[in-house]
Amino acid sequence: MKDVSLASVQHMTEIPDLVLNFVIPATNMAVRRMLHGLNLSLLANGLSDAGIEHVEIVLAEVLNNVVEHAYADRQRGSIAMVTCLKPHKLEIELIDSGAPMPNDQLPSGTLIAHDTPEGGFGWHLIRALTDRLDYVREKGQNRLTLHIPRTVGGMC
Amino acid sequence: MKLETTAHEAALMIKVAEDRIDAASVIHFKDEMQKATVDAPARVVLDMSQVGFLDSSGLGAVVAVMKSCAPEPRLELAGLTPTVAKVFKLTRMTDVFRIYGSVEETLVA
Repeated sequence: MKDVSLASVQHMTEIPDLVLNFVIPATNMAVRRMLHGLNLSLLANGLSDAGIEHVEIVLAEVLNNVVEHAYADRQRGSIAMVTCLKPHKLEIELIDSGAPMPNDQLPSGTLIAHDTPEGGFGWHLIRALTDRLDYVREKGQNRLTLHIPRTVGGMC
Repeated sequence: MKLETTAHEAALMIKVAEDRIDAASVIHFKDEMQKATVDAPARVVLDMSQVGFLDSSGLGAVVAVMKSCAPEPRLELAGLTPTVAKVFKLTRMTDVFRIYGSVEETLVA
């Protein structure tokens, strides 16, 4: 698990307004509760309702994927989430020890026009609602960082 | 997953009496919807006004229910809250469903 102590925050070039750490079991109910907790913290830090909704849509998709796919074949697993609210953007890093992404790459998330699929919406939403995604597979862990500008939905 | 059904002359109204349709509740939602739409009239309106959050699995379930009902009953939607409306819009499902602002609008349509 990554060390997310005060020392790691002090190494950051840009001092964040807020850093939140969560570690949860990889279950749908734990994801739901963590999202609720994050919403309350972001609200208390002055983010708008629209900004919080935006973040919740993206995170629900990413976290559901970890539960459903990365840990699909495993009974137990955990997910760590480091949320860093910076002056201009929200940076969220997610770490899990589940299976790697197919071909070690993030899915494209392309929607097929005029079709009515029952799946495949997730990555489309993630890509539509983030500025940048960084993914690495190292030491048996997936590390995905989402970058969301604070201008979305008048988030600030 | 609680659904409240009301029979109107124009349509069968199904209100989702829950705050979320997400990965944790989607299986129950599908099951309950299947029960609620058995022997339904030609038009069914899903009242989403209480649902504050829907993820892609919830969206997938609404699409699946619509497809399994087709051609009749026709599943229409009403009362999408801002987050839910955003998910429908971003995935272009607004082109696939007939969506009303409120339940009242569906009854005069």
